[in-house]
Amino acid sequence: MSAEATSSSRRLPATPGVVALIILVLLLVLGPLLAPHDPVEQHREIANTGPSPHNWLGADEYGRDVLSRFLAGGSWSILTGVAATALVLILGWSIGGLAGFKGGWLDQVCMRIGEVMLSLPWLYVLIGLRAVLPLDMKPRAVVATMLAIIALVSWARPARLVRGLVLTLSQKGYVEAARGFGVPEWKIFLRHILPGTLGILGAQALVLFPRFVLAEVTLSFLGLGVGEPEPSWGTLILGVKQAYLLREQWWRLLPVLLMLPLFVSCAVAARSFADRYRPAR
Amino acid sequence: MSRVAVAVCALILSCAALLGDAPGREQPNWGGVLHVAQRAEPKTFNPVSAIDAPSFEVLRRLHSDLITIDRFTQKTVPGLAESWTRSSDGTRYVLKLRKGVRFSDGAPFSADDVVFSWSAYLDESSQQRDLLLIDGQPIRVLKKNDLTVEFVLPKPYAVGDRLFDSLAMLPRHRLEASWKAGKLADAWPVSVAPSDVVGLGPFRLKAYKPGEAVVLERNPYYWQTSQSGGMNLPYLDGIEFRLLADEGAQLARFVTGDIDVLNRLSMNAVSYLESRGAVITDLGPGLEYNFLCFNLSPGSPKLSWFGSREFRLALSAATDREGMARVAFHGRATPIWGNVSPGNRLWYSSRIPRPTRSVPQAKELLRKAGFRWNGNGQLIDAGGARVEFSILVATSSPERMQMATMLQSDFAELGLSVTVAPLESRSVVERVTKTRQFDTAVLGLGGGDADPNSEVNVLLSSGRSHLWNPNQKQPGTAWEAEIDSLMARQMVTLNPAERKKLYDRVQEIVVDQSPMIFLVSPNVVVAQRGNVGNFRPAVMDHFTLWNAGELFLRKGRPAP
Repeated sequence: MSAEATSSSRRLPATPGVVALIILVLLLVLGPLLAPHDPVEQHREIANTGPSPHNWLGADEYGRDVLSRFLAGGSWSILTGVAATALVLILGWSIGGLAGFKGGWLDQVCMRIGEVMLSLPWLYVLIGLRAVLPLDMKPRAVVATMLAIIALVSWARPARLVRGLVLTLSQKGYVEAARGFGVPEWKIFLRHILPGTLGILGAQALVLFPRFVLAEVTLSFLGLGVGEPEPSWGTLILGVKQAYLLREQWWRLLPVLLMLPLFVSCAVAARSFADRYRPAR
Repeated sequence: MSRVAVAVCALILSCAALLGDAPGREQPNWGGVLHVAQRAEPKTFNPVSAIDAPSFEVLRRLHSDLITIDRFTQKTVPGLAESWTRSSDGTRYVLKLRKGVRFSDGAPFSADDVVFSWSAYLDESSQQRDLLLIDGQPIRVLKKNDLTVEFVLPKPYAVGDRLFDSLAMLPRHRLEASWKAGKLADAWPVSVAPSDVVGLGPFRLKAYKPGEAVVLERNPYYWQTSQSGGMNLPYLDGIEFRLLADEGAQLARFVTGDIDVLNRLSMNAVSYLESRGAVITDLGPGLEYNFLCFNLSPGSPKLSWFGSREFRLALSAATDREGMARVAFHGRATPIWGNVSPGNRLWYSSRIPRPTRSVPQAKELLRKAGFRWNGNGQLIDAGGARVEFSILVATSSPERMQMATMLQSDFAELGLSVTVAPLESRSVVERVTKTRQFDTAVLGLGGGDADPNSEVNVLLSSGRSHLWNPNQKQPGTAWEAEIDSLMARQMVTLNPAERKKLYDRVQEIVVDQSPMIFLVSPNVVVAQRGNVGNFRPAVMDHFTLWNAGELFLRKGRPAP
């Protein structure tokens, strides 16, 4: 099965991207454990001060330790991205797989709903929605709600990919042979078709993950995501959108600088995944 | 022409040129468009229904009032009324209107428009109605002839001439139909055709591009003339309000020369702009006061907590005002404990207590009010419910966002769970003034006039801007009834010392009850690129454009 689905001539070296990604994600997820101070505790007497032996990256406009907030915020952004990606893939995989395998009216309905979802401007939907959500929702509840909505409107793309792949796999010789031997349909689906979609799901995960990290950053930057005092990359960047701070404390843009290698390593790993598991023609 | 005559002419021209260069006698230029940054979109072009600052910032360039307050001297000066007299008992004002004044569509202005405007402002739908009631009775207006009107006050009014400031005179020929149909408040929405908005101000509406700009053009019929040549003002061809919600974007556009004037500068931006050579003016504490307002309306879900005076006082005691002035405003603000800012020297009360922050005292007050703490240090009420609420704040104001976050941290020390809810400014205004869907909100008021009467709308229990519980038919509490009575008395008291005493008492009650927790009064800091002539910023609103008709652009645009 894997031998058939692999095209070795197109392989990209996956190792650097994957290794870099694993290191970055581990660092960020474990960040809160490494934070030297409480990321939400305010010390107003040292507000907006530069690096010092006590605060290596200085203190923000409330006197909170910038390094601690950066470490804690990274973890929140990464976990948000992982959760949203998992949710979207589960939805996309189930709907796409079912639509492709069953075909008929179910396929038609799923694909039409998917097209509607793809056409939704999710950022504007979220902005409108935030205005009607209860004001006293906790920041994490707000983000969870937002991510659930993103997942609901984002399943269509992976679903279409999975559906296409399922349609291709359904016509493979080994599937036809299984049918000929009288293997039940559900068994064929689970044993011979769904495993063939795992590779593309891996690639999709690596494509979607940075998108959802960026979605969290965007929402928090716009004041719609993680709210004060919780740190996230979005709220950290929000703090330095003022011109004077950018000039005086440029290092507070660290989340942006770290997003670049994260996203690049995701892209490299996604490409190698796609190449590795692309079905042979 | 003889040589002597030529020499005399040359001498006269040289003297004129010298005078033109002298400080304060700068020769104004005609033409050009002034670009001004504005943080939020106007909600309406209707002066009757406007309530928000962004709308007024535009509207006051489109309209004129009968008597106006010179923002620089804070004294009244003639507007559309060239003169006025007051009867000896202080209940009648006779105003003589200027001859030949025309609206921006060319239609003549007369006493009929004044009578109509007054009826419009006294309409039930008007946001200005409360300002025209004395002791609950309306001020009446009578037309004596086409150019003379008489205002009859139900009682003597302390500062009657200031009443007319900022009340735009409306075109009867344009708005009477809407008024008769009972739809005046719906007239002139932001979607209106620009040519339909007609006024007597130095400019008229040319275009409104949502999210981009409000463009005003020169009103060719404007009545005010230049001091030198007797030509009709304004000097400028137009004003463009560029809608930039984010201050970073405003600064970037200012630095690149796209914006000429920043009307209100956040303290964060001051040092940045100073290094760029912009002309920055710090006028010291203004009239604005920032506060945390509780929702004390009968339907408020948190009323059982907010209704307790001790609860409100406890939160006030836990508030770090000095920290806010220092951190959010970089020291360019003054902590306040009452609704009158120290910038208002005449009415500021030195008797208001100014206690330092005390968390133990706050906890003691909460204990007295029946609150207690669970094992996790969380504050719970007598019924065992955890005390938690939200603070609504507009995203367009970084300082208020910062104050809300500091309050969240201050209140957390009392065991309260507070959520900061940043929303776009129009949603904030909507929730606070209409739907009342909020727990608490960080807001700012003031800047209109130094006189207490400009606060009538806020302080009277029946007021539309009585933000903690507006539009009450009867005062809901004894202390609100006392404020109503004191405000009514100060309104008709002609003796300034007696008025001061009455208003001091109002301030004391407000602080003692704390339906709002007063936070800080920021300095008024404005900036221009050095290319705007006749620029005379003032602590009264609008800080930079109050004399828009006289502003002019110097030749060439220096880069800051």
